[in-house]
Amino acid sequence: MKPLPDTSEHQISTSVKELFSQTEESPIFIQIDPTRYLYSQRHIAAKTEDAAVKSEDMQVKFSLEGLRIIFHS
Amino acid sequence: MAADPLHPYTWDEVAVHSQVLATYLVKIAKKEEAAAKKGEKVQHEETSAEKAISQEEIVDYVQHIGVSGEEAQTRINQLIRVVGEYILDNQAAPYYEINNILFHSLFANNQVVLGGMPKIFKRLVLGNSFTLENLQLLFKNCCLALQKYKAERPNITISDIAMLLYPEVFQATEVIYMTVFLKEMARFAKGDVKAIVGIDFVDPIADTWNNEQIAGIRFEDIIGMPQRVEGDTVDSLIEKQVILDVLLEEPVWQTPYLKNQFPYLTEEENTDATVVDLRKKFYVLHRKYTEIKEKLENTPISQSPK
Repeated sequence: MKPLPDTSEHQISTSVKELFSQTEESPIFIQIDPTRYLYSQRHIAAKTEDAAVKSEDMQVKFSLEGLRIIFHS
Repeated sequence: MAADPLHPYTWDEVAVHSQVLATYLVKIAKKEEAAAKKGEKVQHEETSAEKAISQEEIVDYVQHIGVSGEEAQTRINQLIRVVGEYILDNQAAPYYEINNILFHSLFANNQVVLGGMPKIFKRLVLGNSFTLENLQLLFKNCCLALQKYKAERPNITISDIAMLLYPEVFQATEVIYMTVFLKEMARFAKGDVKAIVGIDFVDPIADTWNNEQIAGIRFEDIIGMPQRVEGDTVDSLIEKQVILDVLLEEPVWQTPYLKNQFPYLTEEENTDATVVDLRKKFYVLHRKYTEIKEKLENTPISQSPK
């Protein structure tokens, strides 16, 4: 792992677009409380008995292209 | 039945999954469609999350993806609403640019992992790490310090004071959680991991990274509940959580996402027969500590009790 980036406020505000302008395989860790997401995620997983959330086949690309598929299905 | 969201079981459980967002996108779209059929407009108040991303940036993304028109705009707005409601819980960003970075990352198709320490879990850890007397003393010191600091900085809050005076209590817990979380991610990730944290956490995490004491700690170790402090009772456990609630100024136990408001008590202590009594105890104590805080906060230093 590379050293942590300089996250001074100025640095962040000027480099956000450069940092995230390209699709990457590496995950991005963001310091956000996951409680609300966890609640939603577990709620859906419980309803669908984990099938939809765990199945790779059900992956929908998170993009406008993906949304088009979802809305048309 | 889904388990209460006290903490993730594995680091990748909080990796934002497109299927989860898609489910809620469809929900919002259906709601709007149904309203449109009836000729109604869905009332929607702009959230802080939506304010975080500018119209100009949205247009940028639309052009980047190569889609245009009102439909694309509608979909992007719906996506922003889903992220704002189902990830950010319509809360303002705790650190500069954090919410904006989340939007940028998701729009750019990055795999985002929500690595912050859940507030509820932090309370559980703190409640079982200190005695009631420790927390009462800490509360008193923060209230007295608040009087002093208010003269210079009228907008300062008691939670600011707590973080300022006791970083080893309130910040260190999060630093250890996030450092271990990051190390676990780094073990599994194929390439680099980018970590975006609040400015207060950059140096502490960098300092903790090579600390030998956390070298052998795995993610499953940090999500375990610490043992209760010896001698703790139902009453003292509730009182400690009340103190933390008032001190940190966030009523986490009132969140609608919890079925059990007393996860720090055993099943025998927290039953259908006792829960009403437990809630009553909690609210009475909450009122007591809030009144103490407000009284001290509003008393000039010269008149404060010695």
